[in-house]
Amino acid sequence: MKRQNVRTLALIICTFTYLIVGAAIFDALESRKETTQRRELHLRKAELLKTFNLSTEDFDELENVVLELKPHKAGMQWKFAGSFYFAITVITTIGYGHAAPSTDGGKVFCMLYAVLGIPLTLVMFQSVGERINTFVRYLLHRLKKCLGMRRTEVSMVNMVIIGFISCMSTLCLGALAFSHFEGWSFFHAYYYCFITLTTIGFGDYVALQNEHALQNKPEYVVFSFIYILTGLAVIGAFLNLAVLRFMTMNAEDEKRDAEQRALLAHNGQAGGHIHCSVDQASSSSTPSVCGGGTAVEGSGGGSGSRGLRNVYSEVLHFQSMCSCLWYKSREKLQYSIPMIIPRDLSTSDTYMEQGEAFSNTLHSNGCVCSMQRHSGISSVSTGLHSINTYRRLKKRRSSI
Amino acid sequence: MKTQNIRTLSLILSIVFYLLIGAVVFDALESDSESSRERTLEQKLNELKNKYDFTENDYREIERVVLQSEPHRAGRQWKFTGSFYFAITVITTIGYGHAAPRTDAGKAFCMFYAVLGIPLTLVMFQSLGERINTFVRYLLRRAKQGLGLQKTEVSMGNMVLVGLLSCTSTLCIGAAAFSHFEDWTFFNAYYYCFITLTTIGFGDFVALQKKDALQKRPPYVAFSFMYILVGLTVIGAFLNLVVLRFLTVSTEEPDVRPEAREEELGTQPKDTQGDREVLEKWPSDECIAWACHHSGEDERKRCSAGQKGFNYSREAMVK
Repeated sequence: MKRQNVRTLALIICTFTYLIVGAAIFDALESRKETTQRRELHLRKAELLKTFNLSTEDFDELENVVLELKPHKAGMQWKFAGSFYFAITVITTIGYGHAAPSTDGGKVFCMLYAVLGIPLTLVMFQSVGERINTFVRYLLHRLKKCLGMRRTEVSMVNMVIIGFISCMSTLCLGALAFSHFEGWSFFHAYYYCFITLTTIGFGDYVALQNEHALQNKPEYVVFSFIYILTGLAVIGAFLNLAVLRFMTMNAEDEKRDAEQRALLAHNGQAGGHIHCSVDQASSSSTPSVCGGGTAVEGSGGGSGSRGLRNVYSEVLHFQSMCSCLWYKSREKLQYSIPMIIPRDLSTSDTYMEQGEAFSNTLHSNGCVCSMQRHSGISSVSTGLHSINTYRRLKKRRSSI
Repeated sequence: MKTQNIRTLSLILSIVFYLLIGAVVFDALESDSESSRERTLEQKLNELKNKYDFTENDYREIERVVLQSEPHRAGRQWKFTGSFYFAITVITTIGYGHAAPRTDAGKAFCMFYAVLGIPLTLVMFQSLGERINTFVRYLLRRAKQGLGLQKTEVSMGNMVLVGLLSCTSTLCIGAAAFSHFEDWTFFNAYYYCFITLTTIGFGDFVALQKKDALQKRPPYVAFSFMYILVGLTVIGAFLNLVVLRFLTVSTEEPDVRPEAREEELGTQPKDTQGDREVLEKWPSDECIAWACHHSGEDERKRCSAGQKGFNYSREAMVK
């Protein structure tokens, strides 16, 4: 079965298992307390009914009034500050529910607002997150140079550690602030920050609901909004670093499969064996296979939107032309980009095996792919071209 | 300024602007209704207080009991079915809040559960969404072939249209189902489905909370869970189609400033510095000519036509 399908099936099974295990554990942790609390409240209610001589209908009526008053107790939820707070909970998909539109017009606008706002917000946070990651990478690189370390490149592990530390500190900072302003325990405030910044947003703890803070404490209001948005950016940066690449894996595999098919198809037509043109002077057209079908299909006149696809096929094109250079560079690439196993490069391996017999000869013959030539670098740079662009591709995956 | 920075800044500004507009409109739509409702409720409450002769303390007590009983009204929330429902709301980040862990241990476990579960779920939905898109693309192509159309390749417009249709129908099917099972109006049920499938999850409308459905109506429970997961997949497929490319766009472009190239050079190990230098240079026209020269027949034709093919690709990457 295709890799993508296996991967998808495996993920589905994993998720279901995860849900079942989680359900069992939550059951074990919460059920007993639920039962006891239920019983207590039931008893208390019975007492109250007796004390005040209420019928059940009376109590239901009272209950409804109390529940409906609940959001109002926390202050005006729909004045500008409250509406801004609500708008944040919509487009970030936090959705506390502490305030929810009660008018039909409000509900309709809410849906339309979300349809445009949510993708916009997703893109914004990933964009900011990527900028943050790039900046952090730059800082870390300078720091390493400053400290006079030998290897100054920033590895993925470095970035992940830093990302993790920033997430933890963001949560702790928020926990401190909110435990102070809202009178919650540190643990509950931390829990609130976590549930907010992961956009789950239960609504069991909601900031700005005490003492009419929305109206009376503007600085605290501003702090809360900024905290939520910045915290989401930090989490977004970490997701951009660690998770985003996995979301595009299937699509990239599809692309690779398509390229492979195209390449194989063309090479099949043209005679099948691949090696670099050893003889520069030759104007023979036999190394047409070297030229590679992918270039024909991929790079010809494509529009800008297919730029990346062009690049990719260019890569395979030049890859088959300069297999020796490729082989050397692959080692270097693997060194600097540890996370990605260049599956794509493994296709070049097969070409490599065929070409390997030639590679040394090519090398010593002043192969066009030889590294010895310095300036101009005409022929080498075709390979460089591919290396560079390939690095761009890899950079895309590794830097996010 | 770099393109990426400009893009990021404009996005930030648009969001701030979008939030401001949203705040103004929600204020306009909801504020008056809120004030009048509050007034009515306060009046009603005073009447009731007088009727039953409550003191302030009495009322506080009643209020406490009522508020704490609220989650219990809907049935047992933490038996296996309820916990499964809760687990879904955690890892999909819907987070209704109709049930939230009361014990500290439950809260702590919930956080760990989310840390692993949310990325897993994100990746799973995107993975499945991509498979669905590929399959739909395949079906559409076959349909076009079957219908004897001239151009059988599936355009982005086709896919977006199909995606929009599936999202809308998913919402409508859910609305029809939940309005029937939960006794909501179609509009409210649609609103519920929308808020759920966008993972906002206010919790003002929550399925499976009436008539002890979690314990007593297993087929409806199974339907609800399946609906939420399948619906999220459909939305995920649409997002995968339309939005995911924008999430990765910043990092795709090569940075063409000379300083950037130096930065990259600087990050390489010393022993291959020379090789790196060689590797970093963009191809000159000379080399492109060489490439053309040594390529196949077709390519030479393309190349000779102003070397458009190769030049173009180079430009595409330089931009």
